[in-house]
Amino acid sequence: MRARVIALGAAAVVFVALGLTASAIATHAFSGGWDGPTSVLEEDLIAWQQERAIYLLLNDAAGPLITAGLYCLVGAVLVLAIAHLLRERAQRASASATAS
Amino acid sequence: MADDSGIDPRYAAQFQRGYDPAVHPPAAPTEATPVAPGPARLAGGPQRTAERVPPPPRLGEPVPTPAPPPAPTPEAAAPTDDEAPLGLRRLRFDLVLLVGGAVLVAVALVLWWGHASDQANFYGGPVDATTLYLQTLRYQLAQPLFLSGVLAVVAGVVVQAIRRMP
Repeated sequence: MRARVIALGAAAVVFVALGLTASAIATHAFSGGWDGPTSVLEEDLIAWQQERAIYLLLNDAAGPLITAGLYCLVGAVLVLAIAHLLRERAQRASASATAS
Repeated sequence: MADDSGIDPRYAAQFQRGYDPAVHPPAAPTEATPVAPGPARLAGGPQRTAERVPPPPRLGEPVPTPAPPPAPTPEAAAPTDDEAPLGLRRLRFDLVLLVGGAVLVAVALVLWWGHASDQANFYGGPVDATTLYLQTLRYQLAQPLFLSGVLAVVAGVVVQAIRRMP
C-alpha cells in the first residue's frame, strides 16, 4: 500500500511538472519565441507545420496533464483514507473482541 | 376405555389425571426386567493377575518447548507496511480530502474570476512573456483544479459514508 501511495504521488508530481512545462513551451512559442516559416519552399512549410503541430499539441496537452497529476494526488490521499479507515475498523474489532 | 375414575387401564395409572394410590394399585411392569448380575465369589479364590509392566525407558530428555510470544496489542504492534503509511497514522484523510477539495475548487473559482475580469484579455495582450505565461497558466489551471477539487470532495464524502456504516 505504501508503495502505491508513493507511486501515485510520484506520478502526480511528474504529470503536473510535464503539464507546466508543456504550457510554458507552448506559451513561449506562441508569444514570439517562434517565428514563421523561413521560406515558401515546400520543405520549409512542412517543417513549420510540424513544429506548429507540436506546439499546439503541447498547448492542448498541458491542461489534461495537470488534471491527471491532480487526479493521482487525490487518488493517493484516497488510498491513505481507505487504509486509515480499515485500520480503525480493525482496531475497533480487536477492542470489542478483547472486551467480550 | 377409561373407568369411572377416568383412569385408562391400558396405561400406567400413576401418570394419568385422577390417579389415587389408595384406589389404583401401581401398574405392573409389562416385561420382567432382567436382574443385573452382581459380583459373585468364584470358587478357588481370586484368579491370578498379570505382572505389572514397568514403563519403557526414556530415550532422551524432553526438549522444553518455547513459550509462545505474547499477542501484540494494537498499540504495541510494530508498524508494518500497511499499518504505518508514511508515518501519518493520526491524520484524518477523509477530512483532508474534503478540505483539500474545497480549497482546490475555491482556487479554481478565483482563477476563473481573475481570467474573466482581466481586461488585458480583451483590450490588448501583454508584452511580457512571463505575464503571458502566468495568464495562460491561470486559464489552463482553473479547469483541472475545479475537477480535482470536486473529485476530492466526492471521495471524502464517500469515505465518510463508509466510515459511518456499522
